[in-house]
Amino acid sequence: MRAAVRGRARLLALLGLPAALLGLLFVYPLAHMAALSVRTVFPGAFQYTGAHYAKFVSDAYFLRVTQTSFALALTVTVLTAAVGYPVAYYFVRSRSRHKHWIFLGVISPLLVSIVVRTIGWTIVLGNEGLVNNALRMLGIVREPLALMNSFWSVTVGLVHVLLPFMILSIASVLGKIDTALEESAAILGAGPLRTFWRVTLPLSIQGVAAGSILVFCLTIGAYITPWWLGRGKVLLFSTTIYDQILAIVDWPFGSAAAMILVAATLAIILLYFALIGRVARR
Amino acid sequence: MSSDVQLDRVTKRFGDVTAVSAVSLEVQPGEVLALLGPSGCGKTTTLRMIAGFETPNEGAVRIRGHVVNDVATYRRNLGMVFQHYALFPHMSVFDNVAFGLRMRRLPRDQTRERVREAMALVRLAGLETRRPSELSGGQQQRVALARAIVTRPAVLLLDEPLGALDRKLREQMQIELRALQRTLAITTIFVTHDQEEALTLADRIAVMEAGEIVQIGTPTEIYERPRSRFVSDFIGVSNFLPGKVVERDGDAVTVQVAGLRLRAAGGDGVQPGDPVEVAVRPEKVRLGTAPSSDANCVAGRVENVVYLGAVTYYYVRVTEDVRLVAMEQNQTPRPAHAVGETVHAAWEAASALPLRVAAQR
Repeated sequence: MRAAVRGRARLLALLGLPAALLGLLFVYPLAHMAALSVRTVFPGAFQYTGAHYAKFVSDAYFLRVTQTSFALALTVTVLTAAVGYPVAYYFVRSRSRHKHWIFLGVISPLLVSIVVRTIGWTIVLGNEGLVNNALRMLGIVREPLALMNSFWSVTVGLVHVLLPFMILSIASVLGKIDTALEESAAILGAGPLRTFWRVTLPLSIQGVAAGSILVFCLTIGAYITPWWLGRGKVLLFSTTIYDQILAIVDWPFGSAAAMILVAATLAIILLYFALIGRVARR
Repeated sequence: MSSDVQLDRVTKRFGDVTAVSAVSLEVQPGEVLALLGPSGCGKTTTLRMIAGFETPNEGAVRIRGHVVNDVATYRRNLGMVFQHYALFPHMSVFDNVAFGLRMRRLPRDQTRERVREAMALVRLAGLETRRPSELSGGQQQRVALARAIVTRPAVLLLDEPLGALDRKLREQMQIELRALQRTLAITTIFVTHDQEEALTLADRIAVMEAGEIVQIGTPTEIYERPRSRFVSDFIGVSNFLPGKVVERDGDAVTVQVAGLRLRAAGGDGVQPGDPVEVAVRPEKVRLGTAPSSDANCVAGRVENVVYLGAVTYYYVRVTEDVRLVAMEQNQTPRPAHAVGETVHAAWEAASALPLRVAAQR
């Protein structure tokens, strides 16, 4: 009896503060928005309707926004995984004495503010930027390519800033793999490619999964980078919700859009978990 | 030239450190060779060069006559049991054992048959669907062994194969491993720091110290005729009595140790005047209450008695500087000698080996 009380006290001490924070700053607003999303008007009379949801799913504009958002999230996730995996592998397996510099390089995008990062990309991708000047000097193009304010400039910017999350997620799992496992695959006749495919990748897939979910969610929710590098040309879920609530001041419709985003993202993550579970058990 | 593995003056350096220095050895088909030595002596690096995980800086590694220095591990047709088994945790026991066969693209039904045979050989039939994590240490060890032999490799490499098992299980596995090796007649090289394991399993033992092989020979040669104090000390227990050679007559040597004149035999051509240490194994020293007619017989006082069940160790002080350890079987219910008793310690000249004192390095 005493022990049970003490156990509960310890649990409260451990989880009390995070639970309170999460409840106050996340669960309560989310519940509030869920309630808002089924009201006809806000502020105003308490009348309930599903019309906002119906409007969202029947409107071609919002469907396109949804499509772009998830396409962007998927592209960014795949690219960070493809670029991040080799870096994580090198980071974990390198016997170099300068490993801490590699680590610093890996997290460097997070050390630079969004403004500086974006200006950097403008210098590289702008009409008078590095890439366009080089292409023109080589005579490949006459008019500058519109590299900025496009789906791909947003992709590049997001891959850049989210790469550390992917690399560190993969590295944390990769680092726990005993190199003797790869050596025993080699002894048994597996070349480097088959060793990677049959041993290293299946054993590190949980790291790729964790990194992918992080990057996917951060991309879906990203607002500032798409806004800076897309300049209104790339319409995303997050920018739409912002516009609906703060520009058009349609709280119920914005809330409904937010609810759809949360539900869709959750569904995709659950699907992804199921998929990863099957790969890891191969 | 029919050896399965041959190392020809193989050297491996890591930065400024020479891990293995000009090591040469040959392993005949079907032979079991132990690389024995303390940690850091280069035995594991030597094994890893045979496996192809490390590339020698100098010298040649030959497997069945072919130089393999530039041949990748996966093309060498080897089997290996790792220290902590290195079983694939994401695969079933069957898939672990079948891995090497699948890499060799063996047809499915043959794979199944070969895995079944290997599992029967290590007495694990019926556990094929388990995960490695669901097995005991001893069972994991057997799976690792089955996985290593199922591909019928040219050479089987074992890296401290029994190091992770507790004593009882280790002794049982030593006997099984030896029987299995005899059945398959598979050329085997294993690394160990456990002298008993080396004596039990090996046809020949290569004792390594500081990156070099200091002696290579059969277990009896290594135990009975060690060439240096290091070897004698590393394999088993020895008394070392420092003295000077005063006379040599063929194989027989007389050594002056403190006030005693001791008879010894052999010793790598030591000559009168050479400083030596006479090595005598404790089990070769017999204790009696009266002087005996042996070549060596000295009187002393029992200082300490260590009873170990089957045997007892007696620590005997002979002179101020000379102390001896004698080991006797416990054939009576209590130790034959007590602390403080005066005893006569005797041993044959053939049991005493004069070892040259190594010049200070």
